[in-house]
Amino acid sequence: MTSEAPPPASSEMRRSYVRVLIVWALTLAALYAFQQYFS
Amino acid sequence: MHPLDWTILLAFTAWIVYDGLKRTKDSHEIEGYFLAKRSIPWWAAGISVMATQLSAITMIGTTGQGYTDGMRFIQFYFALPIAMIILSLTLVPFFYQSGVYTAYEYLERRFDAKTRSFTSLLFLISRGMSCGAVVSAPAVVLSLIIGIDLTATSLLITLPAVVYTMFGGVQAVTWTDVKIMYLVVAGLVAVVVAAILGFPADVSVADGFGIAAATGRLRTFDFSFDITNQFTFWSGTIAALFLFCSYFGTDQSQVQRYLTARSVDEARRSLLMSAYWKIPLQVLVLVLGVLVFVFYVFNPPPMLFNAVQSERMQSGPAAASYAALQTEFDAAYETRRGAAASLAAARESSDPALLSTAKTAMRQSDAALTSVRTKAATLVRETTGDRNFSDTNHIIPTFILTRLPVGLIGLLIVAIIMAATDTIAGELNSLSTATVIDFYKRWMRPTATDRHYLTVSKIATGVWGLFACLVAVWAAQLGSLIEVVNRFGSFFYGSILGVFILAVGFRRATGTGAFLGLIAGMTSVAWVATFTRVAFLWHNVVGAVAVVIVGVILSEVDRAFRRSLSK
Repeated sequence: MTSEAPPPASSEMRRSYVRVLIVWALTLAALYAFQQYFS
Repeated sequence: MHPLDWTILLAFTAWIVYDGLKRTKDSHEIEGYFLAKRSIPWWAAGISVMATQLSAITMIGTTGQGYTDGMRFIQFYFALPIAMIILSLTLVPFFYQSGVYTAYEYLERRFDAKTRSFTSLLFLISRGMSCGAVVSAPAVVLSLIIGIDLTATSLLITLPAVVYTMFGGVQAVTWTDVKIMYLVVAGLVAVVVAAILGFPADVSVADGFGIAAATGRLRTFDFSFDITNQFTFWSGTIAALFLFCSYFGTDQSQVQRYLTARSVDEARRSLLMSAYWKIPLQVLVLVLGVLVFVFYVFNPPPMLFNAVQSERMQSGPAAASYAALQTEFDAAYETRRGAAASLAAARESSDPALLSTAKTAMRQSDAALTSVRTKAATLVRETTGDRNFSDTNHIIPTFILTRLPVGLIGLLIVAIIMAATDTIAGELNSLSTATVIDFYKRWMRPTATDRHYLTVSKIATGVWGLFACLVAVWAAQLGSLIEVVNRFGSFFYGSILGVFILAVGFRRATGTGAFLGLIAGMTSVAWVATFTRVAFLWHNVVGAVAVVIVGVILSEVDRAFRRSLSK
């Protein structure tokens, strides 16, 4: 058996990935702001 | 503990076992027992993934780390959401569509039997031993604070998991994970609220964070690039990416959770749940530790939270030295409390100079107090000969037992025990699956009835449960061995990821190339771990890269060799 290309992610899944990236960036930004606000 | 707390503890444990045993639908077939016939909704599979990781060590160890060291550990999780997206796009659809029971089974379809068996064996060794560690760490603490012996505590943690996993299979594991996760999160929130309610009336939550920040406990980002430092932004985003891809993508205890989902997209969604919630959950865990620290700034803490060890020291051969340290500690505590009150007052004023002076005083007084605690811990080590003595795991359990009301204590102790139980259950289930599918069925009885495999699977679950119990009970004696095995485990996490990268990313990679690449990767990590001071997170990068490079080269050599033979 050789490696076969996985099925492409549906457009709904692609939107989910973008949402994860946005939430991730916002979470890190919030943590940084939290650190800076109290220091 | 109060009888009411015992009642809550035993009643909840009994209910979890009863509920798990009810979840035996479809568990009379092998696909139902191991994969729930792929019928689990994505959100339950996602919670199960998170619950398997959130062990009792998180409840008592990571919260204690928040108390002593602050928030910087959170950097460890920064790469997790990215790893989840990568896995959703790559390994998850390969596993799901190939219809495998174990991640390693896929490697035989792609490469050969030896690569599958070797990676599965590595999983069994490391996960089997880590089962013991998952039980022993909380058992040692809980046996001291609830006053029952270590064997009984280990059984209290392990037996429920063995019973419902043995009979209910992955369905029982998943649905009890969901309930336990709710309990654990509710328990964490309850401790946070209790700590805040213990602040003086004139100290707000913001003041509390200001006090913690002055001691460096809110430092979340460390941008220094130092590969000998475990917790920096770069190790958390680059090196940890390899660890999480390996853990969630190649470790059967995780892979099996999302293989139970109803479709490949639902499997992906179950992983993305961790992408959304893991960092906030870890923030909650660490903030809990920080807030308990602030609580003990205004309420006298014990010099050592391990009450049993503290009592022994007070009546032992070093009692005089310990008493002198206690006097020093009491004075340092009063100084720190005064500094904290001044800092809270300075925050109300708009004088930057006053605020700066108050922060400096707070930092210095906390350092002085910490120094006395360190001296006390050193004295314990010297007096008892216990070189591994650490007080960190006792901080939060002591806070729960001494500062919370009856009833809530029982609920929180059961939350800690159940956090260990659900982790054990997930691991037993995956150990049983790998044992039966990758070894028994593959090498011993390839063609037998489902009924036969099911019986063997239940026996395997029981045997692994017994093994976990034995390792936990004898953990004190096996301390150095467990450390060796855990270190051994860190040697191959990245290397196994490298094999899977070869499998899905390099069409020309061969079984022999991948197998020898795996050996080369593990050897490289062993060398780096032995002869350099590179932090362990980076070992995952070394292992994965070494496997891919060596694997690609040796695959070409293998192909050329086979071509020459066929001529």
